[in-house]
Amino acid sequence: MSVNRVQKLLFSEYCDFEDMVLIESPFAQTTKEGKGIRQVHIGITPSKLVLATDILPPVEFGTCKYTPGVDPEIETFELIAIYPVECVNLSVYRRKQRQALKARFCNNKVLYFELGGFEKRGMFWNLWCEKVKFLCPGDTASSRSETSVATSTTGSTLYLLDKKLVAVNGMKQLWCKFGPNAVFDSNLISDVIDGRIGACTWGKNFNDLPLEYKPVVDRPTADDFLLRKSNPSSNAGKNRGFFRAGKNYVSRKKSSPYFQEKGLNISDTVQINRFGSGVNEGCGTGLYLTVDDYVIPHRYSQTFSVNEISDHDLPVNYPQLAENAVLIWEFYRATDPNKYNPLPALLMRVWAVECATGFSVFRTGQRAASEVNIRSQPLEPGLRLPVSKKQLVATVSCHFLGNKTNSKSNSIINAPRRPVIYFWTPDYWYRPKSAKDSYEGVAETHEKDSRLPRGSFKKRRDTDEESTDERYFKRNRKRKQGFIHSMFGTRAQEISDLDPQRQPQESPMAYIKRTLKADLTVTAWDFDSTTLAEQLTMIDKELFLKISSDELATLVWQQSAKNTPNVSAVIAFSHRISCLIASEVLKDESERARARLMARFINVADKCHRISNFQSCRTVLSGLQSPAMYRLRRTWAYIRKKHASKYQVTIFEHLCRLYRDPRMPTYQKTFYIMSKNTPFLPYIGDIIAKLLNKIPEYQIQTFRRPISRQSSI
Amino acid sequence: MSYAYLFKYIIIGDTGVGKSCLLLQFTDKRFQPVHDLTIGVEFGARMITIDSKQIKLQIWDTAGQEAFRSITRSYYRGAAGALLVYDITRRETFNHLTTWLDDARQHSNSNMVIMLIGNKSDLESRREVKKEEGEAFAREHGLVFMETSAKTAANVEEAFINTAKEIYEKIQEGVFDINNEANGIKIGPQHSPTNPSLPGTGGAGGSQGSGCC
Repeated sequence: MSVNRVQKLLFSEYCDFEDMVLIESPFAQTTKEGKGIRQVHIGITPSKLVLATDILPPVEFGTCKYTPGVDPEIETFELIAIYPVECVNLSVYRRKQRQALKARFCNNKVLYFELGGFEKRGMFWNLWCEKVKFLCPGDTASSRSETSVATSTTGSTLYLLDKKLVAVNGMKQLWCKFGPNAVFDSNLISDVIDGRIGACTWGKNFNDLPLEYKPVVDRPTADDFLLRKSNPSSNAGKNRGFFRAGKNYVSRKKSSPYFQEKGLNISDTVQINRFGSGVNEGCGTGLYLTVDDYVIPHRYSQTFSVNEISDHDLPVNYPQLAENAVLIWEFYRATDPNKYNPLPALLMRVWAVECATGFSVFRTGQRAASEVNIRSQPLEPGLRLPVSKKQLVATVSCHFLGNKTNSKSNSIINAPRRPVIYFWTPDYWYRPKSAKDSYEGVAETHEKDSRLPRGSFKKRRDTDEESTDERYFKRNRKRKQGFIHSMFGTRAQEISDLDPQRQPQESPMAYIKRTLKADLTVTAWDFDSTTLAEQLTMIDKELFLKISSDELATLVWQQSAKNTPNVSAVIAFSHRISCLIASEVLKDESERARARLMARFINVADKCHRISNFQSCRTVLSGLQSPAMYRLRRTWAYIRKKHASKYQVTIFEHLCRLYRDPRMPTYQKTFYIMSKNTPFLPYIGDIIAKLLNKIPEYQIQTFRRPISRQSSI
Repeated sequence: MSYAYLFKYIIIGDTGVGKSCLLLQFTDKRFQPVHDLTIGVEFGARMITIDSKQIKLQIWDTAGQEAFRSITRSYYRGAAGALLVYDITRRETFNHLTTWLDDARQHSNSNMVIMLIGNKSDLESRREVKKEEGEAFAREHGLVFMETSAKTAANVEEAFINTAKEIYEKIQEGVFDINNEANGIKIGPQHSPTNPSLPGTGGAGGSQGSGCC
């Protein structure tokens, strides 16, 4: 038997392939345990893995004849499949005396092949091992181990990490996310999926991040923050309107008559409109309803009328309550224009309930906010945050909520000892602020405005070591009633008892906190480009100002960002924003919507550039230039066609050229000109490059000449 | 096995429309309800007889996934026939036909016979695309249309064989230049009298083992 049958086959019948076979051998395809399935020939070409086998036709006597010109070696030889080599992870899978290879394909199919043949098996085995090592250089040692399957699965080629159905131009397509084997670590995988932007991108780069990137380990599930519907029977007739588009609404209660009647199971989901019946959620988010003095009382009376009609079993209408909580929150936020600060809202750790198929882009945004801060905890126990990461990432982070309490809570000494929930703020890196303090800010504002007697939200400084927030609220429940009574009237007691299943003694405040967490979604559509640009600038500014000269010295000295948390924070934030942009755009399935959003982001980049904010501009641009965006050829064509009137693409192309590399003279020239007028925000990469002497010295004289031209642009 | 002609087929269409199942039904006469996603390309081969001539069909079953689209494109080259498959229970697969057709026309030779196949005709109750729509689409784009079921094997043989017949007719009419390899047709070993005598057309035929070119 010849040793190059696959090569012969590729040269003859399948001459569309011009590949050279590097090595080929007969193999037996086996099960994992070594039971034979079929004989195959495997060949490796530089780009492909070729599988072939003999297909013998049934022998008919009398038809056996010699046909000249047919190579008998490959007469019955047929290809089975050809796989691109990047889709296969070959590894040595050798148990005891078996000389077996393991091929893991990117659709997670695993095949085992045991070397066959009778001539020079030892030599061929060594050759194969070498080839495998060559293809997967990362796992030289471990792949040879004979111990376990786990070690033999390590490899360097890409795995299919996740798939996602994306609709482009009305067409559903399956997008695959590939990544290295290492991300099979369950923590990382959740992270990758979390931050996924839909295409086969930056899977590997996760490991290459210069940061000590620690993914969130315990992401709370949506269930943790959903309302528990204790007895939904009254909803059946009256509040049908609630069951409309909106959030998934998971019901938990077993053996409810309503459930039996409707044939629902515990895991069934019904949808609910968080703004209640008859309220059109046209703005896409609750945050931008104009809530005036009239609306709130009116809505409350509505609530009560609904409640009165309801069954005795359900004294409180939970969706309505949630709505009220949002309204209260919005109302007091809206009354204070200084607190109007939408982008932190975008970056809040908001709880968008995850749908079954789609994924919430806010995850990325939330991560953008929270990862910056909780990447590493200080070693000193005094500075260590007294909460788990789980709590941290689950918080509603509201910069503006706590503005007035800064003086009280901005010191570490003041940090409470019991578990609290922290808010993300740009200055949180050093000075965390507890949720309680922040909410106290709301309460104070409320009390001031409504001139109610104070007393329910006095700062508590008792020394007993309550372990949970719930217990804290339980103890002080009586004292907390005042505020809630003012909000909910006589129903406060019922409100406080609305979730007997989980937290029977939960205080109304805790309830509001919970409901606030549950229902906040904002998208990029809710902000115009000016707002986005301004907010990005503000955040980038705050992050940038934290970078001290010492830190830069450390950076240059150590040539690594390991001990420079603030530089890392800027980079991480920039990275997250660009990912967020990509995922925001990809979330919309229609070409038109994507194009509009992309045009808006182009505007954002342009506006950032105009206000001399190089950092944010670079961030937004890298979001738009990410591979996931880049491959949207039709959408770009659409933009060029439909949004050309605004010259957005022209802007975009100009910016792309400009920001291609901070070492380019055009960039340096623009930067030089723009930095003549303060304020300006340089791009961190530019600074680092300058510090590391990567930027050639340009003569200022050469910049001077075209100033007139530049300023006219 | 000796054959008179070898036709290269390619099966294209969205993911999950049943391309691999069609191939399996045609080559192995069995149906496998659970099938892995195809990666790269898989092959099947079968001999059929047309006009008392043995014809070998070499069928390339491609990956329908978007991620593999660029790889798939490189396989169009040199295909004599293409089976463009959609799923009658999924409207979007029908909507994507134009994309696939553009792709196929762009990356293959113009004479390629394309057969439009509406698969899963056994799932009549879940039908989303009417047979008339498929017929209209085929008429509009000059394709041959057929509804098949890889599960019940209805029309599967016919689909492949009709395509082969059409190619064969085109060969008889002289539309296909059988000596031009790019057409996806190779002449079997005993039917290649022209090959040795016309070294100019065979390319590097002399160096190759089976001499099919």
